[in-house]
Amino acid sequence: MIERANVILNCFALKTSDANISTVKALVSDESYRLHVKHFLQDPEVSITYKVKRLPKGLFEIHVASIDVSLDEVENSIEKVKDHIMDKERSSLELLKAKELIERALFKKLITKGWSCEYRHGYYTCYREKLGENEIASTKAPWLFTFYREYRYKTMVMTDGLYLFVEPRLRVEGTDFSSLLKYLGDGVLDEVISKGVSCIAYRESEKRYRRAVAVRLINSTKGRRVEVIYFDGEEAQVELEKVKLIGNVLWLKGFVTGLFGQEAYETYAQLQRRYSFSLGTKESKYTMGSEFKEESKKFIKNVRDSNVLPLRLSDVVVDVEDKPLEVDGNASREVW
Amino acid sequence: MRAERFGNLEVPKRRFGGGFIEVNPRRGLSKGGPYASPARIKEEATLVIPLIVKSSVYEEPQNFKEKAMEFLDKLCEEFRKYFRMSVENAKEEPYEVLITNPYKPAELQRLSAELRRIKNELRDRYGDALEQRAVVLIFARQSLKYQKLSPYYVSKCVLGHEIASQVVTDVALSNFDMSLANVSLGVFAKLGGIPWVLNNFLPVDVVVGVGKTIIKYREEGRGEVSQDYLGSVAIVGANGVISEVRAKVASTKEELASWIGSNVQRAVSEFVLSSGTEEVSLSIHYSGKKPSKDELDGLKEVIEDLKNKKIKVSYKVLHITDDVNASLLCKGCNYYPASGLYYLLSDKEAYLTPLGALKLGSSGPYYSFTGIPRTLKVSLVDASEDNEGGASRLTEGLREVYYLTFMHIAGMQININEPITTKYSRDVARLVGSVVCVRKKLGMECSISLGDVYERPWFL
Repeated sequence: MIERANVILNCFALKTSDANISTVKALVSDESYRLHVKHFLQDPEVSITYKVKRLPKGLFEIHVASIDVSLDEVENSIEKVKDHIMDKERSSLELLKAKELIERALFKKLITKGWSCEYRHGYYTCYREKLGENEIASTKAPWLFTFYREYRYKTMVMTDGLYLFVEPRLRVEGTDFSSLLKYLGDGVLDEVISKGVSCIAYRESEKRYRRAVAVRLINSTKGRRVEVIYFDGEEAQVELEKVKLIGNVLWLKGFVTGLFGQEAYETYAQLQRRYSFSLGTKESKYTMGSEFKEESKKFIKNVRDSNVLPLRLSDVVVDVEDKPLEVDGNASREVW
Repeated sequence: MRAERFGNLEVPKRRFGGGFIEVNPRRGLSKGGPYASPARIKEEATLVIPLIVKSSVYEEPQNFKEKAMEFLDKLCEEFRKYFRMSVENAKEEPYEVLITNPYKPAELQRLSAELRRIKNELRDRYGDALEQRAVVLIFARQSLKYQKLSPYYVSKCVLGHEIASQVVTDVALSNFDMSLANVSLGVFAKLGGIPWVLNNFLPVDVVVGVGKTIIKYREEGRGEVSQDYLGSVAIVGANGVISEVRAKVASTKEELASWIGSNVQRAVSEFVLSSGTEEVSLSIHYSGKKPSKDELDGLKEVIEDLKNKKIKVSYKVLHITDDVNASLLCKGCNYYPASGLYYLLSDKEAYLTPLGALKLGSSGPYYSFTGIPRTLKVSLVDASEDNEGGASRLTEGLREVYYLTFMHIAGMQININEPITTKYSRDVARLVGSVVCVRKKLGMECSISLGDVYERPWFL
């Protein structure tokens, strides 16, 4: 059977005033890049964006463009790290090869406009808006979780151009154990932790938070600590401020219900289901798809309202379309 | 609006016992029974032995044991109903283990010792029947997700692939309806049964799923001290049935790549021997990181070796990942993706949504999921030169990937979000990796010896 099908992708076409973006091309050694140049390039205070390519023999080729300032200012900025640069010259990049420049420029500009942003595994994630504040305020523990609408974005080259893919998501942040101790007191917290509480704990050796289970509250010579067992079995004693409840209400059902009652759990759990596009409810199948599309559009609107868009990269104006990409055609399908 | 670069793949049908053809696994098994059962299951009753793991720090529901026994009774009915199995329920004398905190290493060591004692006692009591036709059902509290030191991994470490075992958690006990059918299906597969095959076979003879991961070893308070590479392969035939799974821990990437190559070579050679043909169509599915140039060169050498043995191999290498933030929203399905919908990004890359809205006859769309399903990105990494153009080769790969999402044999859902080639190779890599970690941390003996061939999917 042949069906007529219309498909919408959660991506927005990028438009530029020119097909090439002017850059300063620099050559640096592996060591200089890791120790000095990378930190300079990533500094959100410096109005530059970059693309990096590893060359043979431990060298890096970097293309640097300016964000909303002239390229001459980039030249001036680079003076700060000139001792670590082997060679530099004016160059340019084709738009289709400049996706990193656009992603990073958005990232930096969003940070300067008050968004919280992270970069991991090739994706940029930004959030600002809190969700469900009224419902949360009505619970017995309004400090337990904070909900944010976050957007994960990436630029992608498709057959005929460059697109910005935007995926709306829910971010849930659990409170840290120092707050738990403040609100619950020693005895109660000690008892609940002894059963094992799902958390994320800072791992000093990796300089990042890792999944763990909190098993005991202890007094050490360095003060109060939480004894945790990381996901891979390593045990550690971590400061209360560096251990946070895992950002998933559903995984903490027993913990929340036991301490704050069924009503508090239901409020948080419903918010998580309502705003998380990966969960949903039986009823949401009639609305969630279109909400997903609308939320993607909302990101573009918010970014434009925050004056992040349009961007000016060196001498080129970069903007995105307001509507997501729509394709249509005939699709053959057996209906059973 | 732009030119058509998307399409819908047809939903594959399954073939059950007695040649019964159906899409829905539950309906197919009810009406036709399983496609094939091991001879021993047909000839003798299968023993179902309960083992209850209690934890003293939790207030276990008073009726935990009663619930478990009720579950067991109903499960035995499911075995009869769906798999025509005769079952002997050993519920009169359930084994029980009591531990305190289920995450503390010392407690887990005690649990391991207890499980080993029980395993030996079961062996003494049931003899060879234990490995041949028995299944141990372990009733325990659900472990915290991703925690490797947990009763689940300890039980897998002790029982491993020697005894078919299934952990049933308090969460499953709280809602029997779905879990009963899923557990019975998984146990049947672990015993070596084939619940269904694809009605229309894949257009390839051998599909090899490759999974790779790194196991990092740490010492308390120190960073990473050493690491190993863990690889796994899952071999699937044209009928969509998994024939074997292997896992290997290697100290270098090169050693692992060579091991993967030798398994591809062996799988093709065995197919040639069993089918009597000298022409083989081979497909290799990579998950995780894309294969490097060196890995691809290694595979090409393997193909050359096979050619020297007068085996003509037509091959393609696909990379499959769900680490994408793209969604294909179908207007006609409330902006949900439709199951089997794909979009060609180029001749080498495409998006595919295996899960999504399906049409059931003349009724409205059927949603086999909650939430927006993840999209897969399928890339044609390499292909033999004798192949047709890239786009048609990629579309053929998409169909293969989509069909294999219907061959997951541990759940009664219509399909899952990835092909079993990548899922099973990754699952076994993750499980073996966790078991290696448990063994090292707790200094335990382990029944899983690495490099083993697992003919039965014990890891499900």
